[in-house]
Amino acid sequence: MTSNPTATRTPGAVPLPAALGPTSATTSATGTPRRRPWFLRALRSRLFGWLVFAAALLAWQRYATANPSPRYATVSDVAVQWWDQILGGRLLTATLQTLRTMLIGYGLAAVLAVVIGVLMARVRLVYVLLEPPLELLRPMPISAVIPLLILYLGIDDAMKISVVAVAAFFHILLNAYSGAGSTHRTMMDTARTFGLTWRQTMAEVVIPAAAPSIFVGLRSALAASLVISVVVGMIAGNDGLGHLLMIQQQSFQVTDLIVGAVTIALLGYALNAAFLFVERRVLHWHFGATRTHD
Amino acid sequence: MATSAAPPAAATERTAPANPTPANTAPASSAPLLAVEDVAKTYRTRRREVTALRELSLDIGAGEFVTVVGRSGCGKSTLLRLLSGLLPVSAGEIRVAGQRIDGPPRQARCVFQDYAQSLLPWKTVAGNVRFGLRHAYEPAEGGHDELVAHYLDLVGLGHAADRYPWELSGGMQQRAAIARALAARPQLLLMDEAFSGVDALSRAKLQDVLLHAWAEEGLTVVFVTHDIDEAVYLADRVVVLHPEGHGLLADVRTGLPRPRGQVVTRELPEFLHHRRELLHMVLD
Repeated sequence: MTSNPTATRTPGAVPLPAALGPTSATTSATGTPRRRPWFLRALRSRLFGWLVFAAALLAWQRYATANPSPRYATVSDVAVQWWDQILGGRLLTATLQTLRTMLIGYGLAAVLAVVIGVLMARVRLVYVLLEPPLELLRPMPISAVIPLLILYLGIDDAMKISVVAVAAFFHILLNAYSGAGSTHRTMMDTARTFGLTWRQTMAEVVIPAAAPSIFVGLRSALAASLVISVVVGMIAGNDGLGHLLMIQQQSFQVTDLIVGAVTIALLGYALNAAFLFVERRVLHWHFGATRTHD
Repeated sequence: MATSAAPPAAATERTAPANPTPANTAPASSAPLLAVEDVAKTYRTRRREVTALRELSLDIGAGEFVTVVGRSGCGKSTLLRLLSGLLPVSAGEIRVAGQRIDGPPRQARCVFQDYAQSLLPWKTVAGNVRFGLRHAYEPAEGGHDELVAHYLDLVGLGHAADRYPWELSGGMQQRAAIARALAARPQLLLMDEAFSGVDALSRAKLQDVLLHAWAEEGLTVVFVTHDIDEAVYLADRVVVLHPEGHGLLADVRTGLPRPRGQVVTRELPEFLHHRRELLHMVLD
């Protein structure tokens, strides 16, 4: 199979959505022997997308300036407001509060879900005990659980963190479970013949082998956590971005609402970028092993 | 308990300079390193039972290099999985150093055909060898770094220490797997069609790397292959399994001179004689 030296793709390696990442082939255009004309290369570059986006903003700006209305705001107004509010503290405080809720809930979920997912995949008893209740809980929309959690935990951090953790938990659990359950037989045989204990097998073979799959779950959980940490502030908030947005909506502050939305978008973008940064370092071997030859 | 006596003996064997024919002295020893006694293996499916092996007995002495051949479906891979403790026997018993095995024996390490799924892709070649040192039969004395270098040099991979398995050719990956197995300092090396996945030239290289390592490290090797030429070239003793898995068809001591060479050995009249005889046995 791999006798052909040009095929670096390992046989049987799980071709999971690793290619979703930003490591797409767009940047590797430089060394190719046959170069495309410049305008075709430009169309394939990510910069082109950003330029179109900038043009759309410009169009919005011109339209909003030409037709002033309280129903929308100009781009420059939003930008100025955003800067003021970040410096002014209120938006910054709310953002940090939301971020804190989110990261604690996400972190708790990550640890619990990886541990439980690996145990479910590798210990029959754990699977038997946890599979039915988890399968019942999983399809339940998280928003349906919020009122119940408010009843038990109030509207403070404990509730908000729990809601985020529950929302993130299942994304990670499913991927950790399937990743830990699909370690290749030869790799398990290798661990056995080298005399690894159960714990060593988990730590040195099963979990690293499941890491690409776990990271898929961590990534979708990150997006879900951000959404939920904002939503929970809207439903039951006393602080955070969601709460801030609700107040501003009630007072028809359109510019502020857009400022809030932009802040959440930027936060999401930054979180995703940070995630990819970590992922590329932890999973560099995986991207290397599954990359088609360049 | 028996193990407390074992390491010094093995250590002296290992530190002794390469004896080109360690097998000549070995078969005379009273207790074989590996004893297969009247072993049977039956696979049960829902509808029926399939007997892969039965009435198989075989003794392998310390230091021997034994290859196992046979028609496909004769149970040679099953035999290797039984020896490596990855499958339980259905009847009979397998003893390693006199002790009945019930799971992978501590003295043995395996090299699998599917090297890409056996090497840990998140570790470099050196990292994989270090894995072997960490999970060794005989804990190594001395610095791990020097030992890693030693085993990599032994298989000719010194230059590739910091590369990842998936950056290497198939033959080099399998050499890394051999280095990892050797780093665990086993007494017994079990190899299942280990060289079937690589091209012919890499295969010849792997054969010579293995023979070199065997002579250097004082190992016992059991090597399953479907390639008669490979079996004769490597071994002192070629075991032919019965086509229906019913015991042994033949147990041939070839006695070809060592050290062996890809060109010289394969042109020897004795080599051709054994090759012809074994081919007849497997084909007819």
